[in-house]
Amino acid sequence: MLIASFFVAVCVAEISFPESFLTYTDKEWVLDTWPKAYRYNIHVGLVALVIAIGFIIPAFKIQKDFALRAFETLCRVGIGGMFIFASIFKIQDPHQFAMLVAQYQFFPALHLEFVNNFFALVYPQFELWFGLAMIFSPFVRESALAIFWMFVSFIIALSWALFHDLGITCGCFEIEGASDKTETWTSLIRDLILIWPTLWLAFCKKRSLIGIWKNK
Amino acid sequence: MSIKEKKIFLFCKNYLKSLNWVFIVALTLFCIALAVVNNIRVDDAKSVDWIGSQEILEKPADIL
Repeated sequence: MLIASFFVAVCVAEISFPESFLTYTDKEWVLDTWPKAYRYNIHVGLVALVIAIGFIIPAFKIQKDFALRAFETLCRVGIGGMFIFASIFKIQDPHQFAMLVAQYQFFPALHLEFVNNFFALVYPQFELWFGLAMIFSPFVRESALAIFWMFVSFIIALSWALFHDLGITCGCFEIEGASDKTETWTSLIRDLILIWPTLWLAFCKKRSLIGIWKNK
Repeated sequence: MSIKEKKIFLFCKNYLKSLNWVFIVALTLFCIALAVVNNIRVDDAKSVDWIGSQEILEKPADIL
């Protein structure tokens, strides 16, 4: 499970966090031998995910109870932590985030453009507090359900941006100039992967992180 | 309603009943309150009007 979690972390880093210490396709020693490696970060990320699944399946077969507990812990810390991290820059600069939300042109299509700013103010707070609740509270079902619907909204927004060829960044973890469509694709793939463990968490028992490791 | 649809309906109903709605509503209200406080707390340059939208920027020509 530890090896699998390492590969999942590499997968998330390759797909979403270029220049992080777990991203290998932008390392100089890789680029020296494979100069176009940086273009294949999604592919490498997906391969890492497949390898992780390759480790998880035998782990479940060998020791199902332990593997389930470890999987729940990793999912709660990983997904909750990701939401906390994603919310910070949005809370610090609501104006920039409101600008980014407006670029999706989703609310105007529903004749709800007046909601844009309020949405940009409230949504990061949901990310932060439901992310914290996922890790630190026993209300895992409730937090996971809220995060599941947030993932659904991200998937709808990103698909909308791709369908209308808006050419904007997803703005999930940082606000940048709107110029890179590949980031929208990578974000969509990431969300489509992470929504499944979130849905699984929405059906887990109500217990804290410590409670997971207590004997029944 | 077929038996399968009834089963799905019952499953959803039981699932929704099993959730702690007080927690969800309380955290939602807390988030809204904090959003209001945060908009007042940040600098004028970073705050936004409560109701309204932002301008839509032109799509860059050198899009990837």
